[in-house]
Amino acid sequence: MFPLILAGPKGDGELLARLQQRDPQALAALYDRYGSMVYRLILRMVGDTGIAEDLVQETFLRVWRRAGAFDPERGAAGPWLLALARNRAIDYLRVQGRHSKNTMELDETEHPAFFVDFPADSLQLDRIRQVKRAFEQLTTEQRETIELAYFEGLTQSEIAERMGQPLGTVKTWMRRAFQQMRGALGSGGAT
Amino acid sequence: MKCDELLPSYLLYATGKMQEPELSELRAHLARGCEDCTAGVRAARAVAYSMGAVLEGQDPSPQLRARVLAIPDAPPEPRSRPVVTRKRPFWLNPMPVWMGLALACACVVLVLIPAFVWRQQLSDSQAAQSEIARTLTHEQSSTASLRQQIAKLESTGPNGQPQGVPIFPLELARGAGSPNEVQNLTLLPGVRAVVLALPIDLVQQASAADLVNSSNQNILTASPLLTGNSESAGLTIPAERLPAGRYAVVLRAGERTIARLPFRVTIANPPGA
Repeated sequence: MFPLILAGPKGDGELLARLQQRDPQALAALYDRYGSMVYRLILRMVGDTGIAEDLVQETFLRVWRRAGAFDPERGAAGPWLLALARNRAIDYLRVQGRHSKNTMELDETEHPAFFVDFPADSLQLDRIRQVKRAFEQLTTEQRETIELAYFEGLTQSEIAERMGQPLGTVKTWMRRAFQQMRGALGSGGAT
Repeated sequence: MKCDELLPSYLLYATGKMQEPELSELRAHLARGCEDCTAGVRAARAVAYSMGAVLEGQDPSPQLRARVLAIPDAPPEPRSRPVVTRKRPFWLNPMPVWMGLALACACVVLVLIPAFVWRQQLSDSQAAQSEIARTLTHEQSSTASLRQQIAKLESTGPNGQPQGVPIFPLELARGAGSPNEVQNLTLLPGVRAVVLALPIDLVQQASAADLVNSSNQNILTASPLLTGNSESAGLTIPAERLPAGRYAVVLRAGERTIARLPFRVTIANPPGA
């Protein structure tokens, strides 16, 4: 089952505004909306339920403390939450020695400014179905390349080494995979 | 770099895994306002985070919700400590050249002053030691001369008598011959001669010395009393010429009597007698 995102971006904006007012109920609502999605992403990356729950708690703690930096009118809370969650997992894997050091600072990839004017329906149910269909249409190599990059946080060189393929080949797979998914997502992904 | 060449990098850039030098090239490219690449990166973010949303699987435990809802009660995030730049200790700071030279000169002076003082003290000490050595040498010389005189007196008399002759000093027996002042000379058995030591100050004035008995008969006369640079003088008298009785040594300069030194001779009994 895909997660059901019932609230739209407008609802996210309202929750973020309430979070900035230090409203505990807004945090509860945000968790009810995105908690499972965040948990599955982290669990997919770290592979341990207990650790995943700890990292989810840490992710929402960061949301509570940094909500003030977000523009509720233009920001997209869902993608921001997923960026925070993914970075918490990568940070954990790096401490465990299971992950190479990020080439970019984590703050650079999770800063609220990056989620301004984000595609409004990026985490809506229809949109998620579109992404899933596009992903399934990729070749095995393309799919594996995307998974290693996103869920395991590997660089292109690391992916090439992991897959035992030349770096140029991996770059080609990634380029085609991205073009294919972007095309499948239509204008919404290319805004 | 062309936009097409950056295409494969969008997804990596969106997930934070882009590597140098492509990372710097893409940043510079975006900074120049390329609309196509800006839209491409935004689409890559959308794709990436949609990827995170498509996962299926189990839900978290109900306890996790309670933990998240407790977050507002958590203590506030500690403020990041202000960066305090510790002032380096002055001895770790680079030293100006002039200060280094001054310190070097001060060190040299500090080393030279004790050396100079030590050298001066050593020189003074050597001078004092030389003075002491000279004094000691003089004392040793004087002592040696005196010892030689004493040895000479003890070993031989003025006439070269053999060793073993006792010396009888007449130092305190000068002046008039009061019976109370007469010294006693005890001759042990077997003594062949005796030296009568005379006061040097009197001897230096005298030209001759007469040994007389209690009847004032002359037993012997010695003249001259001193030879060379002698600092002492004595009369060596054969023991056979000094039977028990009273005697006196009369020192005279020509016919004039300078001093009369009376003494008495007693003969000790032989051991076991």
